[in-house]
Amino acid sequence: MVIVEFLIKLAQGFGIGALALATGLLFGGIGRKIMARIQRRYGPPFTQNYIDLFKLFSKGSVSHGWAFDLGLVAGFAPMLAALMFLPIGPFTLLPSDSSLIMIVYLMMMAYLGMAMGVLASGNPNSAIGMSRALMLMTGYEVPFAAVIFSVYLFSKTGYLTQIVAQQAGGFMNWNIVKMPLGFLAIEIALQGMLGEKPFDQAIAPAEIASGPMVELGGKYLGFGMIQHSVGLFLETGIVVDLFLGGAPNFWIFIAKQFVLYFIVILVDAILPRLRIHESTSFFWKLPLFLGILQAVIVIIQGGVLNV
Amino acid sequence: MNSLLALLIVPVIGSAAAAILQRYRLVERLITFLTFSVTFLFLFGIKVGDLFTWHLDFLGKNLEMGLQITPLSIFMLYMTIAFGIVLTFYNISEKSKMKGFLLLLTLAASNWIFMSADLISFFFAWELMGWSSILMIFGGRREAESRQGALYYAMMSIGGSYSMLIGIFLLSNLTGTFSIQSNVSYLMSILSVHPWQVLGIVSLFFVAFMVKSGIFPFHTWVPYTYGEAPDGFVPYLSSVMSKYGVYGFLIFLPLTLGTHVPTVLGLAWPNYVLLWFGSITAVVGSVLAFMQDDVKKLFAYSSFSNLGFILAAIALFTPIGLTAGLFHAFNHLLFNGAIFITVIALISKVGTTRMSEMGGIWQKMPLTFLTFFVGIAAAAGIPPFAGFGSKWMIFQAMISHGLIFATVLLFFASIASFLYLMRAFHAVFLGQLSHRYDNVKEVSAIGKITEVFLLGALIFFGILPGFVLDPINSIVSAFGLKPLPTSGYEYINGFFSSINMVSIFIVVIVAFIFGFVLFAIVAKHKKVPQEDNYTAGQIPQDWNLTPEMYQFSYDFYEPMNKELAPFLKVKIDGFFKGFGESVEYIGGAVKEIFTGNVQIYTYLAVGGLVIFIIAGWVVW
Repeated sequence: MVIVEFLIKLAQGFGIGALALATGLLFGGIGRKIMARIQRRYGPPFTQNYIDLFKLFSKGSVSHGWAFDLGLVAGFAPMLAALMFLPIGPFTLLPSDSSLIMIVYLMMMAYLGMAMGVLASGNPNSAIGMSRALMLMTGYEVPFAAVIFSVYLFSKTGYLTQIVAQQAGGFMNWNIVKMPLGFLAIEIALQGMLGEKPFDQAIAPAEIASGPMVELGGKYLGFGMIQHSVGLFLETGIVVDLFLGGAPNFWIFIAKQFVLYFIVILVDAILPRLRIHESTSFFWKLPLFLGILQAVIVIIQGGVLNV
Repeated sequence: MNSLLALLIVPVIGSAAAAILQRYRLVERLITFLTFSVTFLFLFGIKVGDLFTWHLDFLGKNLEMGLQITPLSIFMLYMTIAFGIVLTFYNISEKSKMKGFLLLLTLAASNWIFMSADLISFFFAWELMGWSSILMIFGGRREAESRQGALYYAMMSIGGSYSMLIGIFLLSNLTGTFSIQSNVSYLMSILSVHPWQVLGIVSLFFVAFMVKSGIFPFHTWVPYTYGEAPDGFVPYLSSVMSKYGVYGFLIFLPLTLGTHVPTVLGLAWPNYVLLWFGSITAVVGSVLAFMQDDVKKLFAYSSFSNLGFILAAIALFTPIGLTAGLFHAFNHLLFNGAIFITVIALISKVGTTRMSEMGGIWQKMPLTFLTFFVGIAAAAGIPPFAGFGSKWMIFQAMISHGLIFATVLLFFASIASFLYLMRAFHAVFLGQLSHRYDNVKEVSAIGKITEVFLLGALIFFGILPGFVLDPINSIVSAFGLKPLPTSGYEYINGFFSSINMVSIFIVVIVAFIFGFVLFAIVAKHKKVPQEDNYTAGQIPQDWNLTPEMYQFSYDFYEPMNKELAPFLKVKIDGFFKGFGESVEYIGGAVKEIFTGNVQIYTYLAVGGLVIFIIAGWVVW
């Protein structure tokens, strides 16, 4: 019986993974289209990312050794694993372990794996890109943490499933209404997390030859692409679950995710790239202030749990 | 033989044997390893509540001295001796100038610290531990620097010890006894009446513990000492010896169980202050670590940064805070041990500690690379490795009190730890392999066994944390707190949520298998040498670019320096240096008296005698 259950979960897990990947790629394609229209180009078809991925997986490529291979796989697998704990609409594969901090740290393992892969290639451009990505991370993770902790105090639980359940019953129950400052902070942090302008120093195509991706080709770039797509799904999904009340079904869930991504794309389209230390210190100013302020408000409203 | 005594006597006998045979390095190392193992066997003979007392007649006073076993001391003993076995096993094949007999003396002192029931034994053990470790540091890789490191450590330790000694005398003057237990309960009883007196005495003790653990503002000696200590000893210094401070803190923290103290956010305010010391230590350690270029110093900073996490958690003194702190103490011992053992293995192969001179060594030392990778993943708090659970609990413990500033600060420290871990990982193992290291080989068979063992332990205690949490729960209840609920070896129960580590482990493994299958079935790849890099059409060889020049690792986080510049101006180190200089100045002035003229000495002797006689009259 246990084995059958396991197999069912396994199949469902693959389903979720495929769905998240398809959604993430679709978002990427639509994002490219929107960006093109803002710049008054026609732009690629919105299915372009599927075509790209298929092409990348069918082309031969070069490897820089087993650490390179392992790193790329380790960059993708923990993202996929983290997805299994995310409430997607009404469905969560493993609700009993959907602890928010655990999901955040699993995502970090993906970054660690990715970093290992691209750094093993030995290209200095990827090292520069990685150092920038990490410095940026010290920026956006801090306000993100402040918001996560305010949600913890507000909801008095660490399970994403329960946080979603508490927001059931209409727009007025959503955390975005109850914690608007926190939402604002996490929305700015999301811009950095997804590495879109003005926080795209790690990739910086014209400057450091796409940074971490400089040595990736063929299936390696394909793995990078699916990591980014799944990451996009996961990060927007977390914000939807935290602030937009989850969703009654999958379609509404991805619609809400798309709204978040749409904002990110618009900001991306109009702002230039900051320098790396400017963006790090930016995150330590306004977004962190908003996040902390939100936490203080929650605490004053009676969020402290006396143990 | 009484097992309690055996824990002290066996290391001393082993130490004597090692000292006699220290000319034969292999024999000495084997004796060290065997003594640790035998001491560990004697651990099975002790249980909670064991007591051994003797009486000492001193100046007409009858002092009761003793050894006793509490749940905390059992936990600490198992943890430290087991780690010692792993380290001494590795050291059999290690070639630095580590003195086995001093390590064994440190072991005896360490066991004594964890078992002593009275303050006199505690102080003696503390001093024995301090001096044997100071002598050990002299044998570092660079002689002059290691002497400096040992001196710095000695000065700070002496300062801490004086402070503790004054505390012991003040306390025993009040109570007339040296027993730790009765002194602590006495302090607890007068806490509501004389809070400042209690606080003053306890702070005297805490200074010693803060020095030993490297807590801000007494952290400055740590990088010097760890950076210069003999390679074989550094893991012990950082994994085990930093925990003495934690043990010391836990002796006096139960004081806050007595209420009547003003509170901040539901916390007794001394605890609140202590918690901030911990948080600041965590941040200072992390930030300074990612600016280092010396790999041993980098992990020295990392080491006391983690001690900051532990202190912040235990300062809460709530069930979850205490559990989280002790759990992190265990995890820190494990991952820091794994990291430092791989680092010393690496240093012994490449012969330098500067990270900007290394790079690409993963190709030569794959097992060491993997162990290091899992070690830093655990240190970064990544599930399902050991290290995740405790960090996760620390955050929950902190935030459940509404300590948002301290929690965000700790989270920042945790993210910054990512920076320095990646920095070390990249600069040492990844990137371009210099031709200098073409002949570097993987560690010896003994090293391989140690590394595989550590790798296994990091995963085992990551997915089955219950084996550590169970003893911690008994410690928590011994402190009179309600332990966290337990539900099987694979669960960690936090304040806001509980997680099943085995299920997370399975999910991650399945995801990895899927990733590898996908990797294998899609298009093929071919391996290229490291020179075959994308350079935008330029040929590196045309510019005489060597792998060393093509490796970006020096000043890896240079832009951060700009951001953190105002904070870096504050030099705690400078304060101690200035203090040292003024002491030197006064010493120099005093020295002027001693000109070598016998007449002056005679005057001094006579003068001293007169003062002595007058003082004698006044007193009697």
